Order: sequence, then C-alpha cells, then structure tokens
Amino acid sequence: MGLVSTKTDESEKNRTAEGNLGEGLGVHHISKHYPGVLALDEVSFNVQRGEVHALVGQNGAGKSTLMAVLSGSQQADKGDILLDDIPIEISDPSSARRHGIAIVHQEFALCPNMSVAQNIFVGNEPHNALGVVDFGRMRTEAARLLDQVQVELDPGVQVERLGVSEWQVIEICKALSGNPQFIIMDEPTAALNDHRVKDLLDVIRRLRDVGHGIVYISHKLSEVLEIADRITVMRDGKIDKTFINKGVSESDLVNAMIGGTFEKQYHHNEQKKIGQVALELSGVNDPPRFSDINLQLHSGEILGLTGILGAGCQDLVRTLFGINPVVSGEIRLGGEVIQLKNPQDAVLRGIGYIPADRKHEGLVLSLSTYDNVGMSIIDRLSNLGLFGYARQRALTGDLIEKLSIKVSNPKAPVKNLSGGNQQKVSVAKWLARGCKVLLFEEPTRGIDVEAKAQIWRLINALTEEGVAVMVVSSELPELMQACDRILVMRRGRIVDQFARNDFDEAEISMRAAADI
Amino acid sequence: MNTNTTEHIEVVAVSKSPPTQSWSILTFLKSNMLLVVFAALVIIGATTSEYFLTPLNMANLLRSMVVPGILALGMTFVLLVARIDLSVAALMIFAPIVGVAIMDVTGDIFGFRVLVRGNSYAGSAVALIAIALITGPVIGFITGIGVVYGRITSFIMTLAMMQALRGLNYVLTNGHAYYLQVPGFTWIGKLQIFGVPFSFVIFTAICVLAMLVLRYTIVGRRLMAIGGDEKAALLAGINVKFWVIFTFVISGFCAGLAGILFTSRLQSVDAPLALGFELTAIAFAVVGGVSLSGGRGSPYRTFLGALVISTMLNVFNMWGLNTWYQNIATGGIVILVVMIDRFTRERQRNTLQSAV
Repeated sequence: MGLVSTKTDESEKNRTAEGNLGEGLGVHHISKHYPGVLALDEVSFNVQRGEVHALVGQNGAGKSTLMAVLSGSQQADKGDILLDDIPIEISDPSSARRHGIAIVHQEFALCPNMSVAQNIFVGNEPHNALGVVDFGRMRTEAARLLDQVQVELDPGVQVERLGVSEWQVIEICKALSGNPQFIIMDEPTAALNDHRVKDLLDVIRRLRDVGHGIVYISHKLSEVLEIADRITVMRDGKIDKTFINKGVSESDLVNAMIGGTFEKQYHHNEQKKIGQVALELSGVNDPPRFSDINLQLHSGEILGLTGILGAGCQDLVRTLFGINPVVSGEIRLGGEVIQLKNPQDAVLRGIGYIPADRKHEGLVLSLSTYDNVGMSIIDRLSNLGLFGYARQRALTGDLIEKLSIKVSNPKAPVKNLSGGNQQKVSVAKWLARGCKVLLFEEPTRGIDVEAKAQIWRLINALTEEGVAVMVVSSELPELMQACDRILVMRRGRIVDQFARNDFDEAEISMRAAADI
Repeated sequence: MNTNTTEHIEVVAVSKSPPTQSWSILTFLKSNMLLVVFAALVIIGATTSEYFLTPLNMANLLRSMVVPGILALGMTFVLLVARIDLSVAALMIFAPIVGVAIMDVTGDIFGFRVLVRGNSYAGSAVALIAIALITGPVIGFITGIGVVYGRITSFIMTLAMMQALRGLNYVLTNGHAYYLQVPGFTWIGKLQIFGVPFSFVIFTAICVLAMLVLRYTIVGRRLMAIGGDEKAALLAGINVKFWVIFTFVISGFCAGLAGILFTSRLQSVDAPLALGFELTAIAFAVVGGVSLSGGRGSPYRTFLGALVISTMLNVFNMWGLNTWYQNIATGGIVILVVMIDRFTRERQRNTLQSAV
C-alpha cells in the first residue's frame, strides 16, 4: 500500500476495506465445524454490487466452506447471512438462487447428455402454465447470455462434444440465467489456458460493470490482482486481512496467506545419506495431463512435488503407479526401463502408492488392520492354495509394532482408527511388500498436527532405510521441513526445482501460482 | 520409442479435437439401425413363412408387444434417472388381484356377491379397472420412497418388492386363479379397430404422450438432468428426490395399465403369471437405446426396441423354434447391446476426464 497517505485517506481506505456491512451480500460471525476441524471461525465478509471481491488463502483456509455456506450447499453452525442488512435463510441451492446468489463451481456440474442451452437453464427452464418448455425462448435466451459474455457458441450443440473452456463459459451462463445479483466464482480459471483466462477476466469485468457483485476465488494471485477491487485473505478458518487492490503486491498477499513463521516440528535428518538413482523419468508425456517430465528420484531421498490444483502432480504420481498409461517417454527403475500398464505392474516392481483418498483408495475400511496391511502380499500368503492366516498375522503384526500403529484390536475394522493410524496402515501395506519406491499423495490431509508429525517421522525413517519417497502435497510448509528437494509443477510441466538450502515459501508459492 | 514420440502426440492431439460430425452420423445410424433391422426381420419373416403377413399374425404380433411394451415405457422413465424397476411384472399381476380382493371385501360389507361359482368375478368392470390403475402408482410410490428415503439401491428395493408382491399375489388369490369374465372387462382384450388391437392403440397413444412430456416439458428436462449428472441437477436446485419417486410412480401406473390389458385378454388372473416380464421390458428399452446409466433414451427408442424384439420372436415362432432358444437369443442380444452402451460411455467419460 502507498507509503504516503493523509489521515483522511487512510480512514476512508479502512472504511472501504472492511466494506459497508449494510449493503450487498454478507456473512456475520459465521462459524462452521466439521468433525475435528473448525472450518470457519467467526468469519465476517461481504461483497457489494458492482465490485469484484477476491478471496485467497491456502488449501484448507476455509474459502470453499464459506462459499458453500453462501450458496446453500452447506449450512453454518452459527452466524447470519445478510442481504442488504436483512438476515436471510439459505437452506439449499435453490433458496440461494431465489435470493439472487449464484455459484460457478470449481468442478464442472454439467449434464453431458444435454445441449448448451438445456444445461444453462437446467432446473430453471422457461415454460408455460402446462409445463411445456419454450425451447425457442430457451435458445434465444441462451444465445443472449452467450452474447452478454461475448462468447461464440452454438446453444444447440451437445455439451459432451465441447472442451473445457466452453464448459466454463456454460457454467457462468448457467449462473447468469437466474439473473443473480451476486455471483460466486470458485477457481473459474483453473482449467483454462492463458488466452482463455484473459477472455474470462474480460467477461467478469463486464458483469461487474453492469452491477453484479462478484466473489472471486483463485490461487492465481496475478489474476486476482488484475481483476479484484478488494482482496480478502483467509487463513485457518479466519479472515486475516482485507486489502483494497491499490498498490498491493503478490508478496503482500503471500505473506498474509502464510501468516508469519511456521513452527519447525517435522523431523528431518540432515546427515542422511542419499544414494543411487532409484527412479528416473525422461520425457514422460501424457498430454493434456502433463508433458515432458524429466526427473530423478534417489533412494533415501524425500522428493516433494507441489503445484496448484490441476498442475498435474496427482496425475504424474498416478501414472507412476500404472493407473494411467504413459503415452510416451521412458521410466527407469534402478536403471532398467520398465513398462507400467496397470497398478499390478507397479506393485510387482516394488512401487507403492499411498493415495490422498485414504478412505476409499488407500484402505478397505470394513476390513481389519491385519487384512489391510496384508492386502499387498495375498499372493505370498498361500499354503497349497489355502490362505495362511498365521503368517499374515505374524508378518503384519511385526509391521504394526514397527510403525507403532495404535490398534486396540488388529482384527477390528480399520474404519474405527484415527486418521493418522489409518495412514500408517496404508503405508504398512507397502512395507509388507518390501517396496523400494513409495509415492505419497497428500499424506497429511485431514489428520491432526500430532499425527502429521508422526507421518513425517515415519517417512523420514523409511528413507534412512534406503526407500525412495516422492510426496505430492499442497502443504508447502510441511514439504519445506521434510523434503530434500522440491519440484514445482505448473500446467503439467515441472517448472522449477529447489534444493533444501534454497527453500523459500514465498518464492515456491509464487512459482506454483505464477501465470506466465 | 523415443523416435516416434512427436508423432504420437500429434495423433493424440488430433483425436482430441472434439466437435466432429461423425458422432452425430453414428447416432443417426444407431437410432435408424433398428428400423433397418425391423425391415430385414419383416422381409425374412415374409419370405420364410406364408403365415407371417396374414392379418391374424400381424394382430398377434402387435398384441404381443403391448404388455411388456407398456412395462418398458414405465421402465424408460426409471432408467432415465439411472434407476431400475424389477417389480413391474409382479405389480402388473398384483394390481388386478387387488381390484378383485377389494371388490370382494366391499361386496361383503354391502351385501352383494362379487365372487360367484367359486372364483369367478362378477363385480363392476369399471371399479376393477379403477382400483388396478390406482394400485400401480401407489405401490410405485412406496418403492420410490424406499429408494429415496430408505436409501436402498433401486435394484435391491425393486427386487425385494417383486418378491413381496409375488408372495402377496398368492396370499390374495389363495393360490387359485380368478376368472374375470365380466363383459365390460373382456371387451378391452377383444376389441379391434380396423384390425388393429385396441390395446396396441393404447400403447401407441401413451408412447406418444410420454414422448411429448419427456421432450417438451420441464418434467423431461428435469429427468434428463438427473440422469445426466445427478450432482449437477441437485446443484441446479432440482428436487432430485421428488423426481426419482415420480419415475417409480409412472412405472407403477404403467404396470397397473399393463395388468388390465394383460388380464382382460386372458380373462383371468393368476399369481404365477407373467414371470420374467420385467426382464423383457428392460430388454425392449435397452435394445431400443435407453441407457442403463441414465440420461439417454426416449419412449420412441423403447417403442423401436419393442417392435424389433417382438418381430424377432414372432419370426422364431413362425419357424416353430422352441421358446428356450428364443430366451437364449433375447438374453444374448441384451448382453451385446449393454456392452456396446458401456464401451461407448466409457470412451466418452475418458475424454471428459482427460480434458479436465
């Protein structure tokens, strides 16, 4: 912000920064609990007509929850939603729409079997008293909306035949079809390329200029600075700060998002020996998910991989586990070229994958700890075709002890274990197999601080035994403490590499979010 | 491998460019393919059997597709929202049985006899029809409630309903057939209009009605949206629960109607009748091109499916082929068509995901 400012300037700025609560759409001391997490903590926020109010913050800061509350897909535990200073009740998406609030979801919510016009007016079709849909009016209205956002698109074409950028436009038109006063946009540019982003920002400006109030959520700070009138930073379920977008820089935002210094609590062994190349990728492609990936993962190394949503980190890891096929390029494991056609190939080669969606992909919740840990070695547990329960218990029991998994009864279903212990079980599964390369995806998502520290200690201990570890995470502070190297991905490419001595949170965040 | 990397990428890039004409031509061919198949079956039937084109056989052919066809029409609504209804055949027998049972009880109360000479129904035809037409949707409503609020997968819920209704049918009839030789009732089964069975006229009429409703009203838009992407429909403020129940009510109504047409032709109703008709109904819809995964299909498609399968079975009859083989053929065709449906859907989903 400007260094020289008179007192009146300052007070005026403050007044506008906080916004006039009486006007527009606002929330007042909203709180929302999820089991174990306080997602929103006494949050007050408002957006006025004719402004773009950007909302930024790290993953888990509470942005999406706040928007879910405003758009009716979640209800707050306490606090009020105010429309022009009058408390309103938003119990479901349609009541939000009745109050003139529309949301453009981050994930596309389109019906592929229907046309553009039908998708725009889904659930809201123009019709006569008999319920007969006026397709002519629907088409012209759709054409008018498409014209309003100045996009050329045939309203009659089937949505499944279009591409991502068209889908985004359709989502916006869908929001506009209810003639809303306020539009919430959750990462609207996540799936778009530069050229399309520029067009979309123009669309948003036009909408603002005709008096819509827009809440704009994005990880891409350059876009935020370009489009927003006000910028609010959220952190840990609270509003950290609201900026007037005048002279604000990306680093101002990043600093507010990070929120001071992070306690050093995750163990890292500086003396650890890093060994031979365990896994090597050269020119690995799977467009449009990712392209031209070259990297080396050494045994005993913790390699962090970070990027914003849609950057391709998850896709890359899934490919390394054989879930998606490699379109071209070469993967070498211990110097030998390998083909990964399916997860079976990866497991046989000693590659283990600990997915982010622990409850569905990482574990079978209804099975016991013994069964879950032993799942990767079922083929080794048979005696003359009979399943060797005794051996399963012996082998998995050792691992339960070694990883200090706290289970009162290893025969009980794992669904009753805490998140941290569940995560250990899904790691133990691969240790049972003797995997030498482990791929972690968001290993600490949804578990408490204590358990996070345990997981990182475990990962560290594994590398001391020579296991090569790759971790995809959006929790940058954690990666910075635990990793030996961090690679930054953006738009499906590795754009930067940081060695441990050069770790700089602001720099890495900026590289991941930069829009060049 | 490295040498042809660039070529490979180009191929991928080309195949990704979405709006091509070929798809629409394929759909066009697919929907019209059934007409071609139908024409071929007629030609085969006419050349291999001298009886095929006789008015009697034609009337039989049309009549044979009516009952499973009406069940299939109701099924189409359920399939469009990605659910399934296995209870229709049991319900179709249940509806007229309930009609007789209720009339019997009211007869007892008001002192007139509805059942004469053992099990022959002698009550009002109109009342019987009315009760059957109400029973269908009521049972459909109960099924829908179970699916939506009981959170029971439609497959299991309707399978259980099927079993329960079959059991009830035996309880209510005491294991014996009811004879329904009331003139006003049997007349429906006998009536022909210019050689066309009246029941076929009804079938065609409600097909057209259903087509108009699904294509031109907000009802159709809502069902298509739910079948296309239930979450998207929910987020668009559509009352998904209501509309899913609605489809089961429609399916129940169709079952009641089919029950009347079926029993008026047979002039009797018996608990074990119409076994497996629910599967024929599903076969009609699926072969016509209604997707089991929801959001794709129309009553027109179902009608075409009914026409093709019925003609095929009729030709088999002309040849004197045993019903055993007919069942095998129907089963095989359903497997083939569903497989094709799955593979095309999978391909579309892959391109959808890779684009995101």
